Amino acid sequence: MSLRVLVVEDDVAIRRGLESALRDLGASTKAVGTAGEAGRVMGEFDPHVLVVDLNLPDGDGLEVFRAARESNPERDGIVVTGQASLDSAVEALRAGVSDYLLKPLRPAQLEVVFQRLSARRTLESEVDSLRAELQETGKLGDLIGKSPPMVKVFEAIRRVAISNAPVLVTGQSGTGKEVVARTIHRLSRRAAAPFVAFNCAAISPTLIESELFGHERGSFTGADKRRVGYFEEANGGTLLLDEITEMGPELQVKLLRVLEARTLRRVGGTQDLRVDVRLVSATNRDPLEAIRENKLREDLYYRLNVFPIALPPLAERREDIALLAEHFRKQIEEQERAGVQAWDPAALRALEAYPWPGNVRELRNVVHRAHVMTEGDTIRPEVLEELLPDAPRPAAAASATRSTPSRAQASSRAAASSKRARKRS
Amino acid sequence: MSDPVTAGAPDSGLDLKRFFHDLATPLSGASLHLERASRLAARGEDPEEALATARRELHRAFDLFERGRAELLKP
Repeated sequence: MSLRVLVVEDDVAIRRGLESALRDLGASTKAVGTAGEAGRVMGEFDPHVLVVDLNLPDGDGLEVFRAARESNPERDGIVVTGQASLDSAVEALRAGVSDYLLKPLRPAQLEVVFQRLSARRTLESEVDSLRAELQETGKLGDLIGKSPPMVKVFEAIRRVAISNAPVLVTGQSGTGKEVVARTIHRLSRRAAAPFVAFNCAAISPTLIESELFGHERGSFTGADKRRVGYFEEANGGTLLLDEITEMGPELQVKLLRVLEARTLRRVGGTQDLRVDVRLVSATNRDPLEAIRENKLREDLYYRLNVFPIALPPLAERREDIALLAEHFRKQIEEQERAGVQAWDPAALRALEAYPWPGNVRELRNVVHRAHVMTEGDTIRPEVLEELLPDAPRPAAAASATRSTPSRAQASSRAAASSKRARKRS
Repeated sequence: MSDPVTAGAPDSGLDLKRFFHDLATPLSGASLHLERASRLAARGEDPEEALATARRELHRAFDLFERGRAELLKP
């Protein structure tokens, strides 16, 4: 979206210069020379941003900005002045201007200020649209939920996303810790930079250091070329360190050093490299217990846990189960195109009654399998009976589904399934 | 916050501030139009008008500078 910028400056050369520079930066502009003219064009032009000279021939530029904000508080302002004083700067910032530029103006400075403001407005508009989406559909990015614990999680994500604070996400396996990390990244100023996820438990302890920090050629047997580590790959963006308590104690010390110094050294390297990475860590263990068991260093814990987010198990947000099940059905149907369009209400009740030890990941798998096994356009409770054998069922669902499927039913299902497979291929 | 240039010259402080302010306006114009000329040239467009404006603003700055200097050097 092109920002509408109103330039209010009495000097003709500066006015034209600003207008042309801003237009080349992608803004749609209008330029006037007096406070009176600014007032007259304000309603029709409806600017997002005002670039105002403090001293105008017929008034005070700050008053022009204040009036513009009164009619639309979302408007931003950049003040331009040749008479810098601490008082005027403080007054301008109190009035809500975003930046204060001193004359003689430097075009590069104007560009930096404008780009920063433009990036912030883009981010704010994305957050607003996600907030609207959340209110309407119970979705924040790829996270789904309308239950009170999830609403709290969404609020925490929105707050922390705009900062650079390290986040520690805790929650049982399958609750969506990586999805939370991705959503934080997506809502942050780093969204255009890489998101890199690293599972500390998936790599052998001897290799983790070189995977994370990279290595120089010849630094160990088999290091036949230089390798950039995950930290460098995520530079400018976000790095998720999953299962952080599985990282060895020696490496935890090195990680702490990187977080404190914001520099790293590749294995076998001699140079310290500066990195700008937002760290999100995750664990399915209680971190305090991990500290007691010497699995997690206490100093590292405090460094990682600047902003904690605890994900509730699915069993503690049962009101989200139907919403999630429907979301997954739609997602799977989009990939599979098998014509499965709905849930039998008794099937949803059966899902809601199940304890879900594997949390959202297990629910997704069950929905996928139910989708594959469904004949016709509706997922029925009979299908779930096979998938959730020990599930406590609501009476209505249970009475209709208690018997095991007959051989004839099973063979008809197999035939339907192979027919569908042929149709897809 | 004291201005490093006016610090130590309390009598002429106010005049110097005005002097700088007066100079800052045409220098801003010159800087913006030189940058504009450079962008136009980079796009293969004619930078002449932007360069003429920059030159005019620089003349204005020199003129103001001379007048300000004469004013400051007055006994």
